[in-house]
Amino acid sequence: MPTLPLKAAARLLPVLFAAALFATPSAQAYPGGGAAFNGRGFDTCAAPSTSQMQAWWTNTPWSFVGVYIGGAVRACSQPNLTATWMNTTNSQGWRHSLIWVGPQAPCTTFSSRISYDTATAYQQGKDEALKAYNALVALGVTNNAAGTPVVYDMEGYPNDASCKAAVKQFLQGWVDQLAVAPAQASGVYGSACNSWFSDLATMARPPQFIWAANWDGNPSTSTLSCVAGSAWSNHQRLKQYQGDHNETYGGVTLNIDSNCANGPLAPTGGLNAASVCN
Amino acid sequence: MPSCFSLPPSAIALALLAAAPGVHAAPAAARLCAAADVQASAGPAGAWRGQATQEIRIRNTGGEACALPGFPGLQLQPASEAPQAVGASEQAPQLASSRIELAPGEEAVVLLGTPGSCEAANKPARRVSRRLQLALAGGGIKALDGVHIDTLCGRATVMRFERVQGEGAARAAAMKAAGALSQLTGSLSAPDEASRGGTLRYTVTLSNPTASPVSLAACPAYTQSLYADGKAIDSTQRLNCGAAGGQIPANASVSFEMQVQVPAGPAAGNGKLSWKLDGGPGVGKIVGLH
Repeated sequence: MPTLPLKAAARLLPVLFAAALFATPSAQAYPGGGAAFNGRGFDTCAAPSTSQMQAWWTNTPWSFVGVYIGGAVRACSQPNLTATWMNTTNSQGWRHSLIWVGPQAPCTTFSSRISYDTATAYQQGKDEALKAYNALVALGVTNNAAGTPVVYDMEGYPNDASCKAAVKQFLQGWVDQLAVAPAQASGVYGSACNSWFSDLATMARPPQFIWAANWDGNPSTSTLSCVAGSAWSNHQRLKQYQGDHNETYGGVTLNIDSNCANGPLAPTGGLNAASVCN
Repeated sequence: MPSCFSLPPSAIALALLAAAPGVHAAPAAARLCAAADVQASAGPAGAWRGQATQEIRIRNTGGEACALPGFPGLQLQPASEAPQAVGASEQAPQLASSRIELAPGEEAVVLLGTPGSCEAANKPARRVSRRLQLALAGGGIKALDGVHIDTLCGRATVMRFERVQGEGAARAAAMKAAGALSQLTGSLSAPDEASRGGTLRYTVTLSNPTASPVSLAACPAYTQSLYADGKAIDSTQRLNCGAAGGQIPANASVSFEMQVQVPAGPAAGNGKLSWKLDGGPGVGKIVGLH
């Protein structure tokens, strides 16, 4: 990563003043809410320690991190993920994409699966949305996590009509329950082609945004295989454009997937019309 | 406080090194972990990168450091089929020889994966192994029950093998290295936007949530940086500790006003501001540069 050796005082000035002394520090809390952001982020299986996150904040391209907050098939234990971790990394500057990994498509081998019965699947989706909401509150997200974006991780599955119908109803339940006050912003993560986003676009009430894995190396969220350009086109897309590789910053190596956002993140956004992620 | 600013960065670095003994407990030449040295436990069965996963955690329960010269030899023990060896995934063959040293109490994690979907998965039949056998390079075998590894769609491989970077251990190490500064928390207040070629002024607040004062008498160093358009400018300076009274009282906060010259060169877009107290908290913000 190119770094300009501009250490001269003329370019970067030292502390000017030490100012007010406050008697009682205000307790930090992770704000509820979210907004559209343009920029790069990464995700990794287990939340890194806060010192690793600090090393990955300073002078790196990454501005947000994907965090697996829970669910029956969350792959990695999360010994670091606490309300303190959320606060600390937010103070470091990070935005978050919060991921829930519950039951998967019925036509898969995952250890927890959705029912083929569409009515049951719909209720399962609602149940998962409630669990995700509770997890957000348990992580200290304030204001009842109103407006906080949360993403359901639906891994890829075969092209099977009954399987697709069950998943679609399940995700309708996810969307509908998250829409109940205090509503969260509903997202779905998955393989751009094999999680059948093209089907999700036809849902009665589609997810508010998508996060598509499309490992083509192109950070542009406008370019997604198997997803129509007109779908989720108003700052409603995240893209995982490179998977499974190691990167090192500040002496810390992490195995990551590389992502771009042109869509909502927690707790705040930040639009950038010139971003390569657009 | 001119005296607080007089040390060049190199002197600051030397001073910090002198004050911060090594914190990594495991020696470089630890003996290989044997079955008697470790405890293996089954973590969650999950979904990641399209794979159905099973996490295995290996904790050093012995009294001294030991090493894993790669993930242990792994063998699935299906109830009604022949045992199946588990190798590294094609994407990560190096994991078979990635050495991990574990101090007493430390953990490594192994993540196994099998393909999560295939046409055959549309039928009820499954090929689930509930038992796994681990062969340790230092000798001995561990049997682990309670795993869920379904090989219906393909064989199991190791996707991940690494030492667990626990927050608790990291905090303890930071405390040992830097003392009370690691107990401070920080926040940063800066405008949402700044002009290229202008000056960005912001405030850093350090808070002491403990019941004891935290001394700033040594004028700790901090590093400030601004990253934009693939380029960074950064600098290490001393904190103006004298003006803060030399300490942060218990349950109190002190704010420091900062400024950074925004380079004119980067294209308009988002910049990342970072401020990190040596041995203490780091804070940052995304600032739109126009």
